Amino acid sequence: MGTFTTGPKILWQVIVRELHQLVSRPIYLFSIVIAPLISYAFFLSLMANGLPEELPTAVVDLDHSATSRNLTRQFTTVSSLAITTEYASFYEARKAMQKGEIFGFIIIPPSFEADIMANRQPEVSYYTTDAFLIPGALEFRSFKTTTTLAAAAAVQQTLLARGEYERDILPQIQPITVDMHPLGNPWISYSIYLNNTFLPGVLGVIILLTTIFSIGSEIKRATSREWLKTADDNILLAILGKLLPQTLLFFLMGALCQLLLYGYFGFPLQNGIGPMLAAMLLFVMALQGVSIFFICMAPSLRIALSMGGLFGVVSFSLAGISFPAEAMYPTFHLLTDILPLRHYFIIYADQALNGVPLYYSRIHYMALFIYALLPLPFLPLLKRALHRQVYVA
Amino acid sequence: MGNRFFTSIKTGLADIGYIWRKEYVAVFRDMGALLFFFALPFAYPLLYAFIYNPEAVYDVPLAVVDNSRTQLSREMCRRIDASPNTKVLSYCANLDEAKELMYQRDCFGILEIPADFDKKLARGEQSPVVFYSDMSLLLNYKNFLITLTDVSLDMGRELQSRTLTGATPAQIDMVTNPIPAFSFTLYNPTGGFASFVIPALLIVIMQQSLILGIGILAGGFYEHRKLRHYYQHREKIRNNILHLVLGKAICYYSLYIVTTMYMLHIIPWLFDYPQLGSQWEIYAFMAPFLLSSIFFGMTLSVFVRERESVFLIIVFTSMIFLFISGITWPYDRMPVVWQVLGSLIPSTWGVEGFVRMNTEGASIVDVKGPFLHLWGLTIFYFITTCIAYSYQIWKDKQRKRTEAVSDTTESK
Repeated sequence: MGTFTTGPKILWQVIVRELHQLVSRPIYLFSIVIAPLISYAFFLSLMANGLPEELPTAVVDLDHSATSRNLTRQFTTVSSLAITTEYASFYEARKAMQKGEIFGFIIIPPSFEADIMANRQPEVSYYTTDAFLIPGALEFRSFKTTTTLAAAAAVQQTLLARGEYERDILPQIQPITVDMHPLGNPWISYSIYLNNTFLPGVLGVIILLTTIFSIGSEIKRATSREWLKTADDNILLAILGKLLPQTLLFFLMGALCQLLLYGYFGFPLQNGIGPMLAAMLLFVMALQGVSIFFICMAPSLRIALSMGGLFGVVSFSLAGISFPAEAMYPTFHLLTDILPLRHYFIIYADQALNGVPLYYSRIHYMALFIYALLPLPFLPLLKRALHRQVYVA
Repeated sequence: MGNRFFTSIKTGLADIGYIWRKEYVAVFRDMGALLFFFALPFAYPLLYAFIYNPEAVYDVPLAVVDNSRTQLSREMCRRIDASPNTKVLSYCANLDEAKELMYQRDCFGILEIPADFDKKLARGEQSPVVFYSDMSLLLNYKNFLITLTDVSLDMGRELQSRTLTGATPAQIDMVTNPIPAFSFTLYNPTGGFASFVIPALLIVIMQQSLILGIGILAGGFYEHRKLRHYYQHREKIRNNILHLVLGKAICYYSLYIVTTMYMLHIIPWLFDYPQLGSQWEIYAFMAPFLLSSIFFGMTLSVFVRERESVFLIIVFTSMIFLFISGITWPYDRMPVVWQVLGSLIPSTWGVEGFVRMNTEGASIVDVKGPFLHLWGLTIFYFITTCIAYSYQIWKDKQRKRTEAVSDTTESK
């Protein structure tokens, strides 16, 4: 340990040295500023509508009656569907689906009108493709709603004809209703659902790789001894001085991300920006901690970067931000819990989306903080590697 | 005349063969390249397959606050519990108790049945139940929505039929369900997450591993100032840029034949994903995909000045390439800028074509569009690769010359 008076001074020297490196190599500008900006611009503009609308859909009307055309018209009024074409047969429609021209189609059977009139229950069938999950699910939902409503309309006609009062009809058709409250995201917006964790996820990948790269480069360029010398041979000061400027920069990029999400796009933010900013700072530090851990374990730049890349990219799947962690095999639950992105995700769900009291997220803040401290016991390993200064291609 | 023509072809082929062989040596001596070309395409699909293998989400927990406490309200809870999609975790005394469970993330939804649930039904009024759903995961919400819709409609139908005293079951069915609708989910009947996302991931992994591998090789070449190998000591045969680019491309292409079979045939077969298309047609479709990815990677590789910086430049794009392919968000519903940029990425057309053929059973004729686009990209990136390599070689010669000049001046 440096003495009390010289400690901050040495730290400052290492910080200055690091700042020189950051501005002298374009790769840092790219990975710290440009790459996150590209990702933000891409994901936020991609899903700006919240839900894809007017999905191309086809109708195979084998009846060609007034009633079947009326049913077709009901489909055209649904905002997520756009009836683009009409095909003469199931085969044609299926072919169009395979070619990617439509995401779903509905078949109205021949003698549809006559069967309704005669109470013979004509069967309407709809086909959706789940090879593309989001459009498939939206088509399914729209078809289901519309066919249910159409059937209800038919019942309503019968009941009216029997002379029932209009106010008595609805309770007969649908006695039990569900008053659905999608908490925090009543628009079912995919942008809110995905971007809140995908953007930090992408930032996480970049943090992992940049941190490992910047430490490994010292060994590769044979400057690690000089780096340690600047830090008065104190590995803790060396690491702190090197990473603090990056921590600040990455935190600013993360804060910019949150500013876009909660400020510009107005995504739900129940408990104010404070808890989220704190989570972002801890998230950045946690990933830096993991990065140092990797380079301590494998002082070969390539191996450590591969580990960091794997960790960052697999986080998207394993953190359970699209496919629920609870539905994965129990073996993976343990792995899920060791991902910083998982803890950031739960903090977001608690603090921004659901407005849960801070108390319930304490463990996840704690977990992120522990990650930041994780590499401390392993630093001597890194120090030895920095002294050896051997680059493995 | 004819003789000279044939000799030039012969020299050309020999030259390409020479570079091809040289590149093999370079690849197999480079642990980094081997990691990307072989370990990554081998391990990642297995890892993703294991993560997503449960395919569908079952038994999402919810809490019930039953203020009605009648036979009918209990029946509703029982049916919700019986559904494969959802399960009732707990019956809570009040909303606060249920909220506590939700705060702990033990359940993801709360069903509140009002005290007058039964009374309203008996009076012939519409009787609503209230559901609060956590929205952090849409797959959970989807399960809740489907179950609640089905249960409420089914129970409603039964209640309705009670009022039709003396009717036969057939008559009841006729009245309550005049237009029965049947849904068919094609190509991925369980709506499985793995069957949906893995085919697209395979294509993106294939492209990214190629770009990374080619990038790390090129970075090493640049770093160790070995660019002169591209044009020196090959006086016997012509120094043609086409030979250089083609020789390297054939090397990478040949390395990926086994990988393609493993990723696009064995992995879907092993994990029982939809596999409807003709495998030979899929391979035919993959030819331009591999070529365009190789030339895309070779073009990008001129930006790689250092072996390891390829990680920083390429890895984060994987998520973007996956999304821009239109597997989640329909391609033609994206902003035009991303459509244009996406059309320049081989994986966009690769995913489209492969998913259509493998998952939806389309023939290669049905994916004519993506297939031709990929050939277009192959030609485009072939030209850019040639330009990029010529530029790099010209730059290197230039550097040599200035170094040589400075050397001679120093020696004087």
